[in-house]
Formats: sequence, C-alpha cells, structure tokens
Amino acid sequence: MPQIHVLAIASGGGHWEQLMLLRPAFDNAAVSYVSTSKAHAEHAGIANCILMQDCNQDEPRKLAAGLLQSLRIVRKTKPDVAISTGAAPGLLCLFWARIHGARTIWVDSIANAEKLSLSGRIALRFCTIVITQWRHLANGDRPRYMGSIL
Amino acid sequence: MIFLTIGTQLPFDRLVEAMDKTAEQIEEPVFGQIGRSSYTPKNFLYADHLAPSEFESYFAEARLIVAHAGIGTILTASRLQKSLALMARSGELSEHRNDHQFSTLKQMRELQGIYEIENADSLWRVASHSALKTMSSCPSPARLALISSIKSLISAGPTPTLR
Repeated sequence: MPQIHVLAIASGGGHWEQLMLLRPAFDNAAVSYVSTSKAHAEHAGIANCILMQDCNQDEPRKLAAGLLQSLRIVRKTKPDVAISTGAAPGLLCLFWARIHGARTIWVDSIANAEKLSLSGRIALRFCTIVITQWRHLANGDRPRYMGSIL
Repeated sequence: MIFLTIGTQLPFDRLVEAMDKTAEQIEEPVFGQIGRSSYTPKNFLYADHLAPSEFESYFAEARLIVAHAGIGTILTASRLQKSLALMARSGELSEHRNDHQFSTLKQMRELQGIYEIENADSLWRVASHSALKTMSSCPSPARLALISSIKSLISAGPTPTLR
C-alpha cells in the first residue's frame, strides 16, 4: 500500500510549536511541511519546508495572495491528508485540500481556552475533522476533544 | 522565591490578598506582578507591571509560581518546568468575563506540577510544601492521546470521492 502523503501547515510561533509537538503522529506518513517562517523550519531541522506568506483577516490583499499561494501548494503536493494547527494560512491550505479530496484536520490552538478561534469556527464549515484541545469546548463531534498538547 | 502573577488585563484582588496572608506566614521571599489591583500588599514586594525580560527572569528564578488560571501563564510554566499554584478567576465576582478559567483549571489540574488553590489556606498548604512537583517536559497522557488519535485519522487516507 502506498504511503499516505500528509500536508502539515502552521504559522510561526505557538501554532508551529504545537505542530512540532504533534510530529510523532506523522511517523507512518510522507510529510510536506508548510510554514510562514523559514527560521522556525530550520530550527526544527526540517529540510524542504514550503514557505508561505503570513496573512490574516485584517489584511484582505495578503489574504488574497495567501489564497493563491495555498492553491499552488496543494496542487503541487497533492496530499491525501492536510492538517493545520493554525492560523489563517493553514485554513486556506485546508480549504483547497478539501476541494481536492483530501481528509482535512483542523487542530485549534491550546491558546484558545475560552472559545474556538475564528479560523476554527470557519473550519467547522468544511473540514473533515475539527479538534479542540479543551474538553469544555467540545460539541459532540464538531469540534471534538481528542487530547491536548499540554 | 515565590512569584505571583495575575496577568495584565484585569485586577485579581482575591488572589493578591491570599498571597499577602500567606507571605506573612512563611519565610520565603515573595515578589508579585499585581497589575491593576486595588488591594495593596503589606507582606511582599510588588510591581504593577514588568518588562518581558524582567517577567521571564522572576519566573525562571522562582521555586513556585502563584497565578490566575490563564493559558499564557500555564504555557510559560510548562516551558520553564515550574511548579504552579492556580486560582481561577470568577465571572460572578467580575474577575473575568465568564467562568472559563474554572474549565481551564479543571483540565489542567490533571497535569504534574499544577496545584489548584481556592483561598489563602490552600495557597499556604502549597507554598509550605517542601517537595513540590514541577511541570514535566515529557509528553502528558493528554498529548499522547492526541498524537495517537491524529495518527489514526491520518491512516484513513483521503476522503472517499463522491460519484
């Protein structure tokens, strides 16, 4: 059976840290990493990390650029599964991955202890699985609590 | 040294007062970042605001961190492998917008190195404990569960295509 190809996306900072802590989950797969920070990728010893421009909902032009970049990334990598710990760049990649038939997994940041992030709430609309790291934020299956990095 | 931190957004007089009562009963020095508290500590030194490097310095030096149940503080304590005594801010007492810190604490108190406190008595018990556990760098059961769950989800491969 061919190896499963995973696209794993996270912005720099806390989102990236959490993705790195989840790396053992990718042991049986071929992984392509996407980050908004070259420094973060290098620090984690990841060769060939795909770089994407950072973007958020407050800057529509950057968001538009991100939409295009993420489409190119998904077309090139053709993942079976796409997973992101946030933030907006990850959501954009998951969006295109979903359209291309990939299983999409959103892991809401542990920093969101009060309610699901805005990106997480958008992810609920189209991602195969949406995970919260807080039991009290789980709502049946969407979002699901399956553990937490802490 | 015990370091008290209540976060920068809202006052938390109830915790500052509990720390003050405890500081009176113990030998160990206490330093507090007390933000916009209206309660004035009598038994320990404090500042209302600390620069990030100062904050990091006190945090790293302390034997015990006493704090509100804010996720930022918990993440810092995890990174620096500290012992953490946490009091949840109450929405009813207007210490926060709502009671989510109780929910946060309920999940976090499972972790090694985190101690839940409700008042000066429970704080004193933690502070006078000579062998507090520290937060560990090893993966918690919760992290192992999340990793395992994600691994399973991945093994299912892409979603079935609709015809």
